[in-house]
Amino acid sequence: MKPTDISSPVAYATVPTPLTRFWRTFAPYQLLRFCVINVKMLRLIFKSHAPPPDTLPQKPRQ
Amino acid sequence: MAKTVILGAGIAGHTAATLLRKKVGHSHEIVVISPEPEWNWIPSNIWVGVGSMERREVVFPLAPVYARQGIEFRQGRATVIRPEGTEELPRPHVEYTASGAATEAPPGRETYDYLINATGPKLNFGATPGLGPHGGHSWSVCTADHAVEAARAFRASIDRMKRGENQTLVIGMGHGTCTCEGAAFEYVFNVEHELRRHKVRERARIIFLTNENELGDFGMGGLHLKRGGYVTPSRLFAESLFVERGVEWINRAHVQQVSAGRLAYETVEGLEREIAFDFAMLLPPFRGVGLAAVNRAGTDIAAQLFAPNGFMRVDADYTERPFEEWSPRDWPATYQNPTYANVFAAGIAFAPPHAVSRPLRSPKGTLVAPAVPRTGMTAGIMGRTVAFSIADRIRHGGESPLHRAPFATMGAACVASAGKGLLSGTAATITLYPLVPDYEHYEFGRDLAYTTGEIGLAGHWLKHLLHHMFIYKAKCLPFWSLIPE
Ligand SMILES: Cc1cc2nc3c(=O)[nH]c(=O)nc-3n(C[C@H](O)[C@H](O)[C@H](O)COP(=O)(O)OP(=O)(O)OC[C@H]3O[C@@H](n4cnc5c(N)ncnc54)[C@H](O)[C@@H]3O)c2cc1C
Repeated sequence: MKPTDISSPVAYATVPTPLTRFWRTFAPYQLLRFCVINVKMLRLIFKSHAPPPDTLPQKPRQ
Repeated sequence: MAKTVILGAGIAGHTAATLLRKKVGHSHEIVVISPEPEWNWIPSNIWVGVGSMERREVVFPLAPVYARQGIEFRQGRATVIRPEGTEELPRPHVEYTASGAATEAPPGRETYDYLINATGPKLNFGATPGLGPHGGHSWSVCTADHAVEAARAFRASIDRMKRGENQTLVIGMGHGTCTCEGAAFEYVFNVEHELRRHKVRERARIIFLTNENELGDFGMGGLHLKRGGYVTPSRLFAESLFVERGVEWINRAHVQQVSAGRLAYETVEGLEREIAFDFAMLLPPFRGVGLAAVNRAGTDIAAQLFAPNGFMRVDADYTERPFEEWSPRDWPATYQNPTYANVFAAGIAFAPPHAVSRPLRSPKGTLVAPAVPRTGMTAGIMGRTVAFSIADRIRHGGESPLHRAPFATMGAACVASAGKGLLSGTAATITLYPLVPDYEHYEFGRDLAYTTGEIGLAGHWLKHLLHHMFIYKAKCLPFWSLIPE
């Protein structure tokens, strides 16, 4: 798909640079990201199990 | 001794059964009724559906696990709930028909003190003429068997490309009201990955056909991500991936009909088009599995227990309101049925009060409205919450307060991972919190600290880890309960 047709959304899509693509498959960096994503997931899971009271939806509306 | 009956041994039902057993010990009875003899880690069906994983790697037999846990297993399909019993059997009970090897067995019934409906969805292929693998013209990956069939057809397509033919592959949603767009999103990138692996990518035109308002909507109204000093909509993230992988897309579409090698669709903008295809994997819309409900007097009370889409009513606010008035407060927290306090619904089986994405209509009036995704994580948390509520009521009396896990404030994680090799795969990982946008607390509806998206090998490793971890947990192997839902 070439971004030549200006009526197509392809022309307006963001495209990763070669460096971005490199980081995506560079194993040592990805190992670090793996740890970061795991921490993020765990935080998400704990937040889902016990949301902080200030973000709890109020009582169902009557 | 209290008796709990659980309908369905999917993610929600199985989580509820095993955690309830752990909580109440062996002096109380737990019965699971489910039609399939195996447990299926559905998210990995995606890999089965492209032939990069075997069916046996995503399923295992339930009976030995339940035998070890002291849970009774009836291989059958629940048909009728009688929450007040009958004149002849005055206790609340469920009727079911035997399935699998026991099909010849007479219909059974199980009385209960507590009932959990975790029957998941009916895969409603019938909503679109010609949709689906059972007499239709498209494939599915919703069950392990569907995925095996899809992989076979996909492989045939690859073989034709290897012989020099060009192929059009259409992947996406088979109806305007489908949900689970994340699964189709993951499948399309697995297909693309496999085509490159087989060195036939240039012979394939891949089209993603979706009912989402925009790519990256996922039935959750999209999300916003912090990237490069900006807050950007997930549409940019998703479109970038599609462009990078050369996958075309058609959004805001409702599939009208699928016939042999052709499908007709209509868009919100009013376009009516046809696509010729060689291979199509289109997910069906979901509805409730069609349980009947009857009271003591023999009156049909299905409308009291179930919403019109067949899912079970729980503690949500079902008042019809325009999109602008939808609120996180409409969503349930205890999953208890408002009519019968000893009946709960967990996972996909509960009736959502409305969608999350804005519903749209075509000029002809066709509804194009992605339904809210109820992911594995939310199904697990609901199963756990309901199990804990019932355990408390069994141990401390029927008035014990119910546990709460508001659906609106759950998070969601979508790891769309392609490829099997440790270094050759890649994944798009998206996390978001909360699932239902909350504009009272967050400017963009979601907490930007928890709402993230990235592409890389790391997500791919995570998806493999989740595959092994959740199957380990479901098999109730040592320390299984330490693994969170
Ligand atoms: C292809 C695909 C990929 C997915 N990928 C992901 C992912 O990556 N991450 C994620 O979080 N979620 C994912 N999901 C969603 C996830 O699979 C569901 O959220 C989850 O399975 C819902 O669990 P459940 O227990 O509600 O329903 P199910 O898992 O569908 O279980 C329902 C159970 O009820 C049984 N049943 C049906 N009818 C009856 C009856 N009449 N009586 C008794 N039992 C009955 C069924 O046989 C089944 O055992 C994916 C879904 C699909 C289809």
